[in-house]
Amino acid sequence: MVGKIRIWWAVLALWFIAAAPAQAELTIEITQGVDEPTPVAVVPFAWSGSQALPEDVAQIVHNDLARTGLFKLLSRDNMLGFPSRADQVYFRDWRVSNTDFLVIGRIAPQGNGQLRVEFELYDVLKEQRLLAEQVSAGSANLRDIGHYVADMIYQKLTGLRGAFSTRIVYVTAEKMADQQYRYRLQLADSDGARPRTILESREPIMSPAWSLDGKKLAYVSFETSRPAIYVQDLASGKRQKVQSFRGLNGAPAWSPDGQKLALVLSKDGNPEIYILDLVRRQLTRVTHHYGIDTEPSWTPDGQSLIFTSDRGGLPQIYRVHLASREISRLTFEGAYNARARMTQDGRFLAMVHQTGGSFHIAVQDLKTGRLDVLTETGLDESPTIAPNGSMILYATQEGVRGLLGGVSLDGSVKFRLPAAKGDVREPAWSPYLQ
Amino acid sequence: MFPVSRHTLATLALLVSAGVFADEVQVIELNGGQSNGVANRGSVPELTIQSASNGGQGQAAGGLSQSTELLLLVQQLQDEVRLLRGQLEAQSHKLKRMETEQLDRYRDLDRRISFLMRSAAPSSSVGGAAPTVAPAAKAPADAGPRQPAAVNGSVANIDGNDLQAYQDAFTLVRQRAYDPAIGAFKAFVRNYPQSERLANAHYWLGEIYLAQQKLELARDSFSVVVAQHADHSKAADAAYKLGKVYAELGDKAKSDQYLDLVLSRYADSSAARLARELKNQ
Repeated sequence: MVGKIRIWWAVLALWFIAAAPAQAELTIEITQGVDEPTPVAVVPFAWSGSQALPEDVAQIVHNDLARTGLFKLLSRDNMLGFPSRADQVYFRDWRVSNTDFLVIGRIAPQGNGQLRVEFELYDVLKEQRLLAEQVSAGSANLRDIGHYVADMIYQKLTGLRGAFSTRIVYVTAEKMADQQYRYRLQLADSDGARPRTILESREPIMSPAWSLDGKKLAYVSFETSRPAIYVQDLASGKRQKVQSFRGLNGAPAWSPDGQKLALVLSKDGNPEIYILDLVRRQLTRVTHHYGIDTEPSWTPDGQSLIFTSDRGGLPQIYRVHLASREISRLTFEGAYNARARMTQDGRFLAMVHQTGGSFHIAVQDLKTGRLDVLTETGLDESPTIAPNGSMILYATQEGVRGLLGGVSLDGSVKFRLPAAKGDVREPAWSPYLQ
Repeated sequence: MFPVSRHTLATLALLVSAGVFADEVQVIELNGGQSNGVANRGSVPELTIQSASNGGQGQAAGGLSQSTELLLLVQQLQDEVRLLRGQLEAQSHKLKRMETEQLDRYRDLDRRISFLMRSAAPSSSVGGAAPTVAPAAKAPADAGPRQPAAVNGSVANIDGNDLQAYQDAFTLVRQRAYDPAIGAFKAFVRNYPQSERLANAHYWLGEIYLAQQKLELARDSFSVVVAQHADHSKAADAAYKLGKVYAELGDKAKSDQYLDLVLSRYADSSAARLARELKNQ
């Protein structure tokens, strides 16, 4: 069966793929954007302090907006001036350089290490100010400010809530010596910056999953030589082994209320989906079938689980309504659909879909049943959706190297996040963070 | 993340245990058969033969072999059930999609037809037909005396007249001039008892009465269509409407009787679908 072979392949890949030892910082390359991106200019923010700032806030905003593929950013070399206040803005200059929207800003020290960041967004054609806001932060949090500014501008220009202030986690594998690997669970900004290691192990780490408040992670670790599910608090770093039965313990998924974990156990001989109540420590079996049931995830309303099952002979996506235990099949196109994730509005399903022998990320519109294949690379897996439903992050292969790819839900925008060195897999995009 | 299935493990175990017996080949053949699911019905008799031959090898071996066979059989059945389940799911999905598509198509057609009917009405009275409308409007009034002549005349002549009279009456329906339309259809029925459109006239009388909530009169008109023109294209619709009229009159039994009639006699008609919907309410 193709499904099994592929999964084994993935597991083996985690074990054997060579990776050079180094910090795995991700860099972003945009490979495809929309046809007519909106031209935007982000002018370097003026700084009235004495010492140089650790981060270039305007550059962070610039990069965030560019990564969406929706905007064409004017490079600094082509700017006719660097205004930082309203009275310095000459709209004619910006019209000449074909800019539709202009972002200016200034940063001033506030004493006791705090900084005040003010920024403004202008519609160049209407010569109107669309947005003006000020925020304070410590100099260590300038990246957060940059992402926040980008979120505000994105929301103003697209009407969609921005997801730049979110985080991603992913697993890296490095080959230390023959047959010896170093696995790291990493947490980074949504643009791959500021990675930090949450867990390091000689044995594989898999299936990281965010709790919906963004405070905890659940994952599978093989550190005790057999797979066990852990829950780790991100702030304190404290972790707890929540499940380790004989056989398979895998694919944890948080319920929207954060009280339960859906997971896969094979303790009764065959992979089945269970729900673990974290408060009452109670385990409920959800599926009863001699076929393989795996990869559960919750629908945003918390009423149902979607999961992959080969009960119909081939791996397809099913939904089980938890109250009635009614099971219905969701995917019908193709011979392989697996690891589905639903957008927060419940409208779209992102999944791994097989066409012509290779595996791609596809999106199915649950209202119309229409399925679109979004990626051209082969061996794509582990799709994870941004909380605003604009982008899907997934793991893919380039040569023998594993890296992360991003694609917009309509397939029009694509980018890659290759690590400087090493092998990246199993991304998980955080929910909105407070 | 698909782990090794229980089948694979079970199969491996079986392969090992099967090595005990001489008929190893047959067991493997059975295992091979599971991959294409459907084609292994024929192997069931083989199993019986094998069990018979193993029976002679002693109690312990025979017992083990039987449970092995059972396990194989169960596994085979499981695989086949999975296959069938997959096919059933795919087909019921296809069916559901076809049903919605059909309904969409029907609605689209219905919309287009009613659009055509609405746009056709003014054009027939405004367009080239205008001169003929004027004399024809008087037709119901003086049709009576002319009818015998028409009957004596050519068939084509009759057709021409009854078509005109019918269309005029129908134009009145479209204009929602119900009372004049009733008069026109009544005159039509009186004047052209041989017309092919007699059933249509009765049907439209029924429709107008129904629109006016004169349920008894509607019932009588629809009944004429069903009773006297059972093979006419309007009969199915009339029977359905009778079911509806009786339902509104509060006679559930009669209503069901006519709806059942639609379902049995005109099972393929669009009226049958409507009847089914009405019954399910």
